[in-house]
Amino acid sequence: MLATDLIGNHPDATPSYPAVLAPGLTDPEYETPVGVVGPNGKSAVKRYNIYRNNVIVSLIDALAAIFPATQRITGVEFFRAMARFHVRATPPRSPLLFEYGHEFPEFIERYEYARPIPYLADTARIERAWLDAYHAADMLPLPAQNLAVIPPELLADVVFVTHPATRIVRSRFPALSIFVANRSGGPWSASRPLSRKTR
Amino acid sequence: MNAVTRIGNLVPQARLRFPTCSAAGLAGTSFKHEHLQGIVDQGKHSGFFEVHAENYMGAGGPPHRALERIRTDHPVSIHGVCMSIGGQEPLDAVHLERFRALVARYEPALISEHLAWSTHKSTYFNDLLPLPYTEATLVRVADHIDQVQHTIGRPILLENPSAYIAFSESTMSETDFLRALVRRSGCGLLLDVNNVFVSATNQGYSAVDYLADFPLSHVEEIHLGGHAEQADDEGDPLLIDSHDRRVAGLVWTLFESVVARGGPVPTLVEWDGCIPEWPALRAEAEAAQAILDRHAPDIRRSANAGH
Repeated sequence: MLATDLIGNHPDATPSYPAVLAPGLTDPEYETPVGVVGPNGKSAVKRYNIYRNNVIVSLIDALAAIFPATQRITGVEFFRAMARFHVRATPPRSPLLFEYGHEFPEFIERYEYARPIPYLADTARIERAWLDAYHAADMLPLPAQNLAVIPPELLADVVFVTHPATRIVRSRFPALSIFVANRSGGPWSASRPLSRKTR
Repeated sequence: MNAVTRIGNLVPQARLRFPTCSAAGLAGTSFKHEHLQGIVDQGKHSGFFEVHAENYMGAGGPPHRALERIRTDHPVSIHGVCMSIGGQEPLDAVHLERFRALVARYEPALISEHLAWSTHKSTYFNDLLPLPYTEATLVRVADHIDQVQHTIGRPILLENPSAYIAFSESTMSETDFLRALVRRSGCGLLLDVNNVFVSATNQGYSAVDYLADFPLSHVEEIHLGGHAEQADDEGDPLLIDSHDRRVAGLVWTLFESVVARGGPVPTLVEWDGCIPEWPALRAEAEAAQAILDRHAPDIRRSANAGH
């Protein structure tokens, strides 16, 4: 598709710079958009590619920071190649990067080259759940004594309200042990994806 | 009917109340969690800290503990990265509400966003993307700023971008565009001197001329940061706004000329990649502070001398 088609299709028919710039950011098949220029008639190919590179690399970095154990298991090169496919197919829908990657474990499950590592997707599920818990609302945990004071006749009616940081991951593999063995960072390790660059 | 007993002590933890803090005349740094211990151990530190708003938009957890700790003793600047103010679509109402809540919670000394866009058709690109400077974009960006300011109840500072490309459809200069935005929306400006240097090199104009035309009286914060150098299609220097190294010498020179004209505006050293140990980052901020102090009004200088 040409950039001009995108312009023409815009509802108010005004040139839409996001519609012109956006498709090529995640799709390498697109050429440098029309109307994007360097100074004094210079080419804008490498210039536009800086944005493409910023987008793809920063999102791969975000996945690497959210899934460090997954990356440790696969190796960096394997992980980044896999993450690149996922970023292109499923870029973030939210500006909160710590919400990114919820669909990545499922992608890993379908990823042909990851088949020899059947526990990889579940390890990624635990890492994603870990980050959900990390950012969950602050609530005091339930003290065990609270259970002791409930009269026995009321126990049948007790409803357990889960803590906001609770997540349940089921696995056929010892995924939790694998997760623990491959995460060496301290409590801040998962905040790295958030340290993105600004201008 | 049996009453249901709900167990689980789900009481939100109390929020802190913070002292008023001004960043006037101060240098600051990006706040990185790995520096928290070093900052606390250092004890008295007079600088301010800037955080990216989106990193603190989770419901709770350690990021908020860290920011509360910093905010108790220091002025904080909240720097939005993803509002997509320069975009063509309406602002994301959910994101705007998160931004409002964050400002209300931390009462920052400074609040800023970018002249850029990052979301289109609900895809978030995680980069600060450029826009053409035309009458049409001016009206829309001014409306977006107005909406943000109305929502949070305070003016914001808008940052000049670093750009690698330009648009053939642009009809006005960046400085004219920013001047018009200030006039229409009442916002202030965040002048990123490194961005000026990067854009000027990449777009083939003079950074000195750009700064001479910049509406300095509306600048309420300055950014400094490091950049990397690559080559464009013709082999000429193409600078990348990488924030992963020390501030370049020529950027320091431009900064001093800005401070000499505009006074000691709060100045932040940004460092987001290859993050050094806290003392190295603090040293960059101290270098900026020395320049600010050189151009401080005499009253402040003599007050400092009395300590």
